[in-house]
Amino acid sequence: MRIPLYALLLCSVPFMVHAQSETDSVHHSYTLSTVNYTIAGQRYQKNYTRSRELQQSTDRLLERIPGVTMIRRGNFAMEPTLRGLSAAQINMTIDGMQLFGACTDRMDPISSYVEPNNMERIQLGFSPNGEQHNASVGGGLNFSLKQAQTGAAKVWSGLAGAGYETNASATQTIAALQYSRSRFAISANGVWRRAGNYTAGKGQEINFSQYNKWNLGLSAVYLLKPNQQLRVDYLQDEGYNIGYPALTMDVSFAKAKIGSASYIYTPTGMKLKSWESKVYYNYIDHAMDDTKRPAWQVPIHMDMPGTSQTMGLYSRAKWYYTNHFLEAQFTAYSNRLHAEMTMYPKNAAEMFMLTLPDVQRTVYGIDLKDKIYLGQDWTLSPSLTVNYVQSDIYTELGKETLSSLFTGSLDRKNLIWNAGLNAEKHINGRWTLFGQLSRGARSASAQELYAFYLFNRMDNFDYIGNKDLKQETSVNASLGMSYHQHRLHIQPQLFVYRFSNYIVGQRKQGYSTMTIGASGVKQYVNIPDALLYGGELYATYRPWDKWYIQSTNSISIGQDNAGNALPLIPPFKSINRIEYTPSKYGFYAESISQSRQDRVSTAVYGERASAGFTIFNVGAGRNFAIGKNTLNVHAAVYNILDKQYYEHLDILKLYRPGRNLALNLSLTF
Amino acid sequence: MKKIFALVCVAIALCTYTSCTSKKNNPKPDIETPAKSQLGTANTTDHTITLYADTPLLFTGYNRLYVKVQDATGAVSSTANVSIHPLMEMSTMSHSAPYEQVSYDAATGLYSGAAVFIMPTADDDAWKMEVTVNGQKVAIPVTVGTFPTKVISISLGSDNTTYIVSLLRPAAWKVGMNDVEFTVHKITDMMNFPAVDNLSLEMTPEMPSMGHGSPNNISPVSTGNGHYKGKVNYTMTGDWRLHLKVSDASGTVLLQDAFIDILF
Repeated sequence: MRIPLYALLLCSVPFMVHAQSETDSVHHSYTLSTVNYTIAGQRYQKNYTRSRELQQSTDRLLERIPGVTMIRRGNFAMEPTLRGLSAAQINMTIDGMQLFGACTDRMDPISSYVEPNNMERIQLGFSPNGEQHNASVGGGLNFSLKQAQTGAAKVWSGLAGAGYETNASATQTIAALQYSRSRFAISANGVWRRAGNYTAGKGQEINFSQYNKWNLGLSAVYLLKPNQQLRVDYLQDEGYNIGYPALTMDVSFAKAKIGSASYIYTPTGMKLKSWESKVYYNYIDHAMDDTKRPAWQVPIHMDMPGTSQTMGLYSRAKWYYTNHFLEAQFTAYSNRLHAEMTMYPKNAAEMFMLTLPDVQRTVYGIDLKDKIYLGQDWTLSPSLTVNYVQSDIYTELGKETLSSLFTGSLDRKNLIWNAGLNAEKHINGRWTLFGQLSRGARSASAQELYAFYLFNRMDNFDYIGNKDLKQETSVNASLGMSYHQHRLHIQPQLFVYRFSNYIVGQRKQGYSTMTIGASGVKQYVNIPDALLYGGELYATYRPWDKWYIQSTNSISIGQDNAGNALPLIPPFKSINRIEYTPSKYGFYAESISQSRQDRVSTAVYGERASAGFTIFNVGAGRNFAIGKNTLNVHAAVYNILDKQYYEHLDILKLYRPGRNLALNLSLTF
Repeated sequence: MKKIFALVCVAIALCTYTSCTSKKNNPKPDIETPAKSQLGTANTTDHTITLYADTPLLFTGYNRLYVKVQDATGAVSSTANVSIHPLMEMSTMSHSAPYEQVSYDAATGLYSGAAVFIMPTADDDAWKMEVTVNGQKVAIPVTVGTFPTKVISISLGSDNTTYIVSLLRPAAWKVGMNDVEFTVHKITDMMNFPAVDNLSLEMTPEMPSMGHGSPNNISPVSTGNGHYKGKVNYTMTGDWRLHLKVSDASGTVLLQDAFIDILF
């Protein structure tokens, strides 16, 4: 198996003869305190080494990354978008495992089931063939889980922390513990969070914005031989009584159980560098709830539970060969989605329907990637992904339900391919030029194919699926450069995506709405093309020692074939931060600004213009050494001017939290 | 070692998968048993006559009826001349109901027909089914109950004729697209209820408790013998009302809304 595949790869790429060492992946030898992120091979220096960062939610970490903007429906479980691409256009995984949220209203993006305390790093790719595996049109996010480390300096190590925020009376409690021997290690980490209603700027309380959750991560590693590892990981995340003020319903619970077992072979002195195989299973159980809402908001009481289960495996290997660094992966997974709704009208029979009629999707994929070092200056990375996607309905009730909308077979089979080429050119010690060109494709999502009257609060329409959707494809190019010297680092990047068969909701006449008060019914359709372009600018500057200035800027502009602005596209956003870190102390001040977004198409996509804003945050911290342990105390004030503001992607334009004083304590041992 | 690892992986995967899939069964409506129920029996000089229906109790509206004719040896007769006639005897008068004459069905060995009962059995008002076999008439008393939802609509049309629109109840409704069939009869006198063909029926389903309808319905069209066949789309379970606007061939609206109620 290995040899023919390798031979195939060698034939398919140009062949050169320069040996070079590979610095692709980072392995942290210490535990429990680092989350960093990588964008398409460009590693960002920002290490969240202070444990207070671990008390933040994953959402707060993500929204600091250039090009990432969050769709907000409440104070919990925000949904990441990459350069304005979201949902099925991007591919989100946890440690390479496929997971799919169980909520039909996108209340549970999978980023809500993983905590910074679980993670080693966040990998981010904007192009279909970036860091991510599996086909997509817009790249993706991988949340790499922290592993227990064998042979650590201390047999027992750990961390405990607690935080309090005045706004929403939010508390965070985290803990982590690791036991490490030379051949065996086990680690556990946990988070418990709770918050009441938050208060927006100028003292406005946002009702139904509370949340409660806990998260537990377990990792065990056993070395069969020094270069053969057996690993078991388990993650459980449960949220309860979560308010979604921008939606018509809240959530009574959102539970995820995520388990995997891996075998990792890392030979030394061979061309094969590593070979990792993993089997995994995850189950997500989600229930929407309207029982806490006042009667006038609930014309008919309803229950809307949903489940998602995914079973999969992957096997990936990496090789060195002279100046080539090769990667090949086989992946297979199967996901089942079930979502239903029971309505209880007064004085009439209860009504039951499937809103996502038992969709099963099975995917087989092969990824091939090569990184070729051409001399000291050029790096080329061709890549190819082929996915075979089967979609069908796995219950009779699901098929009967869809007979309401469709005739003929409901099964879908798609063969999807992505291909790309990344190039990097080191001009001199300071200047680097990088660019990429790729072709991406995705099959329509389960929701886009088979949705059965799913309500979208943003445009107030019920959505139905379209089983005849063609796959959405993109041709994507980006060009950037990096200037790096002792104190200054500047990295601008421009990008463009041209989509074909872009999938949008289009009004369907003659269909009556299912949701009381909805404006009409939309069906997913392919429009001939769409365009998305924009750029990012990342810069850091150290004017003096102990001083650090960072600026993160991004903008996206999207339009469909008729020139209408695409929905949920973030306007210009800028985060600027100054840090001063004398020994033991740390101080920072930052501003977050977003410009006005009036590039919207209210008539077509139901989106309204947004006002711009600027908010300011400040913080200070200090480390205390207590014996061999470290105590970190940190205080911050967010939105110090108590500004009323929202971001463009916030559903219903609900104001975000006003002034908030946060205190965090943590002890590392 | 790799073999053991693979086995462990498979075992873990199987355990977790089965433990979570054996969970819920969907609340699907029970399917009524298709076995026929005996309603009564009577003897002529030559034959034993047994009357059957699809359910133990007859209901107002359209009911399929079956007659079994056996000779003295118990053998089922297929060549007898059999007819039925529903009759309600009230204290001062009697009347019939729309019905479909029986014919022999070789597959079941029964003579099958139908009756559209226009009212339920009451204290002094009893339904009976007159069955005539080779010129000999017997009467089998039957009890007719009121169906829980409105499956028959009797109303005066704009042409001053009373029309009877009745639903052919299927064994079970299902979510999604269903075949739907109605009969239309009119009242000419107390004993004559001829079937009416070639009307135009415009069907609009609605969920009264929510006020919404459903897409892709096919309004019933005349198939002869007073029958109209179409397709109805139930997007969910619950209460449904099928609004029927009935017009004649010239387009004159006879019945504005002869609605039928469904619950499943």
